[in-house]
Amino acid sequence: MTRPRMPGLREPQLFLILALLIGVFSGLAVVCFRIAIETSRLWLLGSSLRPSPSRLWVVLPLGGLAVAALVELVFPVVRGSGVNQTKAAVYVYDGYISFRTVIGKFIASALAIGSGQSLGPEDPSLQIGAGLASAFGRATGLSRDKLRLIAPLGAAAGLAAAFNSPITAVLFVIEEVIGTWSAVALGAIVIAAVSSVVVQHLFLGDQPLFRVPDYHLAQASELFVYGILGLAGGLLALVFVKLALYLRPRLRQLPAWTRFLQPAVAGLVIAAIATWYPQVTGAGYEYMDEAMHDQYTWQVLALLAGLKIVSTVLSFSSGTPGGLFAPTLFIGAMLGGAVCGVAREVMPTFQGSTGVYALIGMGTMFAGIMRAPITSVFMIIEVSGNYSIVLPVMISNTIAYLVSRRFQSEAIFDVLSHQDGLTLPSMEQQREAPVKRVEDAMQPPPVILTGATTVADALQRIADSAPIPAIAHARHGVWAEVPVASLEALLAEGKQELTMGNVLALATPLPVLYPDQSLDAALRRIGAHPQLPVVHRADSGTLVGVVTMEGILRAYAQAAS
Amino acid sequence: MLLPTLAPGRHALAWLAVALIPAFTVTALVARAHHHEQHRLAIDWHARGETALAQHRANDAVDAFRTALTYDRDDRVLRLRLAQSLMAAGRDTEARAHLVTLWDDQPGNGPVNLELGRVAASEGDVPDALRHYHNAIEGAWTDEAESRRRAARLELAQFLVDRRAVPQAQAELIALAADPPSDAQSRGRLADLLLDVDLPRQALPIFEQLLVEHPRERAVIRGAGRAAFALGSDALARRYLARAAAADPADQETATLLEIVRLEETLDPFARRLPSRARIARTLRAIDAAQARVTCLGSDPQAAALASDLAAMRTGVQSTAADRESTDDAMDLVLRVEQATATSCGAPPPIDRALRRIVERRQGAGG
Repeated sequence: MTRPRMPGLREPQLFLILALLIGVFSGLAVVCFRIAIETSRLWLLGSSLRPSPSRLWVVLPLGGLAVAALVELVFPVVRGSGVNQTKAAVYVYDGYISFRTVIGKFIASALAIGSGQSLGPEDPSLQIGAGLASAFGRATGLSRDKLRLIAPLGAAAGLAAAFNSPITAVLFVIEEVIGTWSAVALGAIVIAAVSSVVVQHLFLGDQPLFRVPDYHLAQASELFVYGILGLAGGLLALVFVKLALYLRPRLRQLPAWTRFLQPAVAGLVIAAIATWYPQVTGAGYEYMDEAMHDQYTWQVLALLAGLKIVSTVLSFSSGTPGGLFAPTLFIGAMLGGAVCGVAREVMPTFQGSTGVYALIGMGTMFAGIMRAPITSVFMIIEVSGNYSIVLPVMISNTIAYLVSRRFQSEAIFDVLSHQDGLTLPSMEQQREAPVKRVEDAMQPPPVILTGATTVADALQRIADSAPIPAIAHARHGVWAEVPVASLEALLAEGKQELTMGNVLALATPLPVLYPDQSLDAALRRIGAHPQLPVVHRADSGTLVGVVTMEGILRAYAQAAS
Repeated sequence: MLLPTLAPGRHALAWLAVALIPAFTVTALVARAHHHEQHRLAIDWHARGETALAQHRANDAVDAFRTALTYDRDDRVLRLRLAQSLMAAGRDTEARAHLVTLWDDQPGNGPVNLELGRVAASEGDVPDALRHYHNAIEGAWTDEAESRRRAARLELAQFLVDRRAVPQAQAELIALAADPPSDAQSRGRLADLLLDVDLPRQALPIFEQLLVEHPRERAVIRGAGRAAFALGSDALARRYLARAAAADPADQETATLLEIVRLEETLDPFARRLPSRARIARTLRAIDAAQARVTCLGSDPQAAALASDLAAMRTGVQSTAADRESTDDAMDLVLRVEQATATSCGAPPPIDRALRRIVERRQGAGG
């Protein structure tokens, strides 16, 4: 597409302004989305924290039927959480998310969560933000590269507003959706996330999501308990992931007409559970707050963690639109509280606070299920506003992450995309992939000619150094190819005593590489040069080796094998 | 590099900027309606909680306050009421968690510290209870600050008395007595506690002031009598105790105290202007009572020695002209008997208590 060349905004400037607008609009959309969820819950389940069983048995299945009808008949692309769909938009559809998806996600998720399905609002918010961003990007005629980048930007804005946590949102999108830290992307994502949170604060207040007592490590033995929490969190995350990945494809293999009933059946099971334990319905933030305030015994907390896993797996696998963030945090909070309760029983001197353990449990479960370790740590710091909690969070999250990885090679979102027939890039695998560096393809330094070398000597040494061509150090820090043809011409003219310094005075310097640079960088720079000098970072006059195209390809071939 | 310029982008941006106005307006209206509804629900559930609490349905109150709190999670009063209803339901651990949340925000909040003090007191955590009660006494209160601080101090004193931490309780009560509560019930409680920690001198004026306001209040008359009795003001004690006994004949303790006071009057050999014969008779009666008391020691060697001393003393008193010196010696011996029997013979009968008070008062007066 050709664009008219007239005075106006350049694309980077437009992109940043657009980031701001996307953030504001995403913030507004998420505010309305959250209100829609709460309003539908009020209408459908009533204002009590403990809805009557009759309501549960009626609303959950009927709500499931309505959601299924919406998804199957009107908005077929709004199934699932929204994270993978956003990734698919970035990597498969050039950043395209239809505006219809935004509308569908908004309505269907609000109805599903409001009617008590065990799902959360964060992932749909992420997709709503991404959808808005995509629409705005198309409207402003962004290039394809920028269009791909704009959906994650909206995703960060949507998630930030839903979670009231801009840092978490930025990190999650970088860790899970984009996978790279680029200055352009980071700046725009930060602008979008911050502006959406500002809008959200404007309408819904700026209180942190959870309030827990100040943390301080009372006893060194507590670190052991955090380790246990990490282990338990990793194992429970595995249970959740394995169950979801087992059930979802099986339900999708059933005849198409059953998809109209699956959310209703999930709703019936959840209603049965919620008759005794209404805490499993919806996102469950109010019950997480209760758990943090010691409102349940450890036995009840453990039971709630298990029941929430069952409820969420059913809701999610049945294709009901809604997110996994909140249920993940719920399960983690209950697990953390339960571990704290058990520690109190086992260790008489134990002084841990249930609120703190519940909070750390959230991060632990997030690390285990979502496999976004950095996000999981910062999320807990951000939602609690408590930096001192970082030590136990890191211990517990790391253990959970390692346990989860040990027994489940692929992260849940990667497997889900495979189940949907898509092969999206796995950010976890990208992070783990070994980086090939210049030093892996580097060869020993060839003959080095200095500025004092005469033409005759140079030609003699070049002949001796074959097959690696010589390289000349024209002056300090400047390396150049040796112009063999020119030297031979000078020799023929009888100018054999001329020095290389004179010959190379006007030569074009070669690009230099450093041993720790990636091979990708070497590949981009080598161009038509037969070799490039690799110099020491502390002294560009010291040649440590050279890199040739053959050497680079050989290193890549070794990595592939 | 010449970057592409984007006139269509500018137009779209302009449209988006314009669209912000209706988008903000709609969101503001929606959010306002939402906040209004949330506020209404919070008030509604708050009222349900208060009703339940007033009807002593603590668990229903907990559910109601908890629900109210989900609609207004920043409402500190709601959280405090939730904590209070949890305490009323005997769920102190849960209450503590909410109170700690409130305390983190406002460590100097009077009501929160008072509740935390109560929780710590119910858990027997004396240092924590003291810390929070003192924070409550010195903390911020939104209304009737002084009276609430006094009430908190009174509660702390009660806790200390219950824990038998008498010196600490005395310190709190003396401070309160210097600036007593304004309501009669609290002053009555203060005076009772002063008596409990052996501060009758501070208790008696409070009882007497209460008697001016409530002359027929049995507990106050009885308290005044007890305070006067503890101070050794027998005439005053007899007057108050007689009124108290008349008002409540079933009150055994008052009857006993009254009997002791009356016995003191009839047994005191040191009474002024007492004829010599009467003094001898009273001394002998005291010795007789001591002899009866000492039998409770059984075959104890000390009992035999005391009995022998008492017999000799009786003979001596009878044979002498019963001068004041021999009366002093006799009564000292009686006191020794009372002291020896106090631990192993159980509560002494009124006559022994009266004799002991007579001797101790005599010794206290420098006699």
